Amino acid sequence: MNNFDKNEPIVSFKNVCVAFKNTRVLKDLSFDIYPGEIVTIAGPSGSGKSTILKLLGNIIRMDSGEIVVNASRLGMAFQKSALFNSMTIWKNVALALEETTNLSKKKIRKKVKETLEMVSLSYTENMYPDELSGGMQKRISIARALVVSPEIILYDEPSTGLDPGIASKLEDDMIKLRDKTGVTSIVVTHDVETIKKVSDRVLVLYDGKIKWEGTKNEFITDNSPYPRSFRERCTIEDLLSQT
Amino acid sequence: MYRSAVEQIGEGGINLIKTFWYISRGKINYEEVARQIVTTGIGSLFIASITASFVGLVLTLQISNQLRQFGAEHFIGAIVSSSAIRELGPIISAIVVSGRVGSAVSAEIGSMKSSEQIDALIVFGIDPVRYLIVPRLLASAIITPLLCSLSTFLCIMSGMVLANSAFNLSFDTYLDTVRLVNTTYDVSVMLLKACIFGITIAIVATTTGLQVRGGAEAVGEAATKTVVWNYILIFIFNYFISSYFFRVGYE
Ligand SMILES: Nc1ncnc2c1ncn2[C@@H]1O[C@H](COP(=O)(O)OP(=O)(O)O)[C@@H](O)[C@H]1O
Ligand SMILES: [Mg+2]
Repeated sequence: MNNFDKNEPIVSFKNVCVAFKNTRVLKDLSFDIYPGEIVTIAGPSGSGKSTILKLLGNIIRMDSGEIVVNASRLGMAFQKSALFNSMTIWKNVALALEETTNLSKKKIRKKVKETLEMVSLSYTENMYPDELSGGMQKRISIARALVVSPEIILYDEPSTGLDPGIASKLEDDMIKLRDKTGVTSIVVTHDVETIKKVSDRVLVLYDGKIKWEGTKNEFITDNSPYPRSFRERCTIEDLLSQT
Repeated sequence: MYRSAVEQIGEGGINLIKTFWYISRGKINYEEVARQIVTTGIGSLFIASITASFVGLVLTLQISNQLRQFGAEHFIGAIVSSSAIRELGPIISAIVVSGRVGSAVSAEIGSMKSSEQIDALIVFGIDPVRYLIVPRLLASAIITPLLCSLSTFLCIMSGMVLANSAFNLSFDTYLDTVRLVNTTYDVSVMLLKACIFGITIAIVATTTGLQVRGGAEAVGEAATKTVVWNYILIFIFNYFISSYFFRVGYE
């Protein structure tokens, strides 16, 4: 279905199951992601998108299945930014390097400076997160994910809660970043504009499984209910019951 | 309820073991420990002082009336001080730290959890136990004995002032009986008790904070839950520690 290079996947989910209490969220979920691509996992709210990212980030554990990740460093930009609100922006970005690497103070300073420049927010370094707008917080959250030079970056609903113009700029940055660094990008969202803009490939998550998979163009043109529900902003259930 | 209590205790136990493991390997951010001591300690000084002083006053009042009936007023110092050292000082400081520091720590960590900041630490490969619990536990284990010493001191001193002004007991007589009945052993047990209470408070507060799921309401619930659990545990532990050292001390 996709025309992306079929080399070794960098992330591979095989029959992954996750349940919380009595609700099964992921049911035998399987998919592959290849190095350097921007893959969007689209799904309605509550379908388990964040759960997938949390599995990759080792925040939660799966009940069964297998996840293979061929990367040693991973960054995550959280839905609610999740900046450390007791720390300055500088400290937010520097923390991972300070706590988990043996880099010298000087090297850390250089790296943090570069990373803040990458998101054009150097001037905020002495501010605290709550002094920044929502869009700026998201960009700092991305900078914080990038500072460890990750091979994979995870974006949880990057455009949610942002004005359309600001969201669009953020999406430009995500694409530029991949083009510049080659970082594999996994984006989860239900925002059709984000899907149409950033994706090389789209996976639609529904009822705990990938129900549809295709390129961005296929997502825009395919008449299956899964991509259509996003384009027409209606629920998948409605479209499924019509057919 | 029953299940959540078991889970709570289990998770607290695991966090306690992990914390001691990090401490034993020297994974301590001393700067953060100092910061925690200063911010939490100073905030508790005032309440602890007021509480302890008034407990000393009321205790002296009640005891003096009883003792006077037997013409034994000059033992006021002995009874007030041994009550303060053995029971009241540790309990007062634990209640103050639990209400003032425990609830704040649990709300702080709870709101970090609900805003995904804890998840962010985990993704970075930073264990929240090492980064958040270790410094808070050490700070609490140091602060509580210090506040306990202050509380005990003020409790004894306020008793002395009242015994002097209301019952005409001289400072010297009061202090003589204080020296007579209390030993270094009693003071060591007092400090140990306070230290155990401090550790308990920190573990309950941080564990409850890390268990928060949801928004602002869940954070508030966590703070309340922390105080309730801490009061229960402190009074239970207090009895067992007292009875253990009572037996050991007089063998
Ligand atoms: N820690 C948790 N405990 C219980 N239920 C959870 C937990 N995390 C997520 N869920 C539930 O799992 C489902 C999927 O959640 P999530 O992955 O956050 O969805 P999405 O990101 O697609 O909106 C939701 O119904 C949510 O309520
Ligand atoms: Mg989500």
